[in-house]
Amino acid sequence: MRNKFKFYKLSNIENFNYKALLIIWIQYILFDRFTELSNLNVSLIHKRGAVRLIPIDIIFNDFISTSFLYILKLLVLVLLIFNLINNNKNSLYVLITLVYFYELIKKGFGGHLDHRILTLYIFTIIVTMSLNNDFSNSKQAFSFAYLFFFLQYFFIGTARLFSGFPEIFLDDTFKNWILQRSLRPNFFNLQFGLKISEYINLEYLNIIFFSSTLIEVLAIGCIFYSKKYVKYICTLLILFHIGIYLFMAVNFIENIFLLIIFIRSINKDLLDEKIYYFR
Amino acid sequence: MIDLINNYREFFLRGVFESIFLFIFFILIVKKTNIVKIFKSNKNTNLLILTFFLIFFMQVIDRFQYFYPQKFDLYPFARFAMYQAAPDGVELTSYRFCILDEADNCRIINISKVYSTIGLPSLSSRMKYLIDEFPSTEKEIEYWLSSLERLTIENDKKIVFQKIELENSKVTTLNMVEVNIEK
Repeated sequence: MRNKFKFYKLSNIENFNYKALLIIWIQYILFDRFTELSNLNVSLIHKRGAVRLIPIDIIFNDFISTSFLYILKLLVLVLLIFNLINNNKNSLYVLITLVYFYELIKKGFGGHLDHRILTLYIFTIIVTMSLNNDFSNSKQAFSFAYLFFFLQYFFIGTARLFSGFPEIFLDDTFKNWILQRSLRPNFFNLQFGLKISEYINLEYLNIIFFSSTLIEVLAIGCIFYSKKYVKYICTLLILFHIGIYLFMAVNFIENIFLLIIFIRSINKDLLDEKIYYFR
Repeated sequence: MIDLINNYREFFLRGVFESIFLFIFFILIVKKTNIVKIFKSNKNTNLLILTFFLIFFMQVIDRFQYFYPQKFDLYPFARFAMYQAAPDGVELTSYRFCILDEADNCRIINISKVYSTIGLPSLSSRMKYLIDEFPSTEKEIEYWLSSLERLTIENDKKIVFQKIELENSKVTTLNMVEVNIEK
């Protein structure tokens, strides 16, 4: 009985990250107002990826039917809940395929591809493809996914440094971005950005901007260095994400969840402290 | 693409240096760490290598990803970059959807809430495109306006797409396209 209990406990611990990942997806899909897209003319869709091959405008007459959007959303939710109960790799692949089209329909009505869900999506793809069929190597699968996760922060930071150093950290570019984002409509109509750019000196704003860029570059160290380093860098990244939401209205809640899971995993030994190391 | 490279030569050259840096970084990671050994220990090594290759490849190739519409993409793989240098400067412009009643009072429709599913950054860049490419986007704007007709009430007369500009702390509004509400 004692052994059985221990085994039960262990299997739960090992699967915790995987289940948490599914819950992040569930909250995203559940609160997503996906069916609103049935009000937009189908000719507004800019086709991307595999959707280029699908004659959406011929399949749907003027508007994508609400029932189609409901069914797609429901299917994704059902698959997520199914995977929450059972560990099944094939259904995870089906889920990834459905989400691919789900996201491309949404992004078809938008402009550029933003990173909010791209990160979570690629993260999930990497976890899925690197998991064994019996899900026995959760630790390893998540170590690959987190390699990508911190790599994307590193990419974002280096892209900013190479494209704009030192000018954008000295002039009023950052202040203008804050103003512009506050001027544009956002979900809660937050306008803290207008206030902050009014009351905080340009120099201080630029110091914050430059520091956050350095933290993004240093984020890659989270997969190489000790617990202490991880805690500081991940906490700062979480704070920056909260700041970006308050002052620029860009939501990165899924990244915050992934960062929290990472800190927890390192503390609870769900991920090795130094998976990757310098030889 | 060639036009963009010519127009944004400095931006492009900086991109070349960034790519060289990423390439050196990649070589260092492969040579100096245990990453290859860990990749090889997985059953799906080839797929994993392909995925990470695509992530690196798009980071180097997918320049000008904020320009809309794009002719080529490898969704879900896209370059990770945000708040990078703005070669044309940051335009202090915005947009607004307004429902006018019979007395011409404006009731603002929060488009980012109505279509929150699209995602704020993506929606904003689409709206910027509608403004920048006007008047060729007039028909598109009409479609966006018509989709909001369901939010009107009895005394409403028109729905308007407006461009907002901030200059010297002063906000100005310009009506771009309007549609009459069919009763």
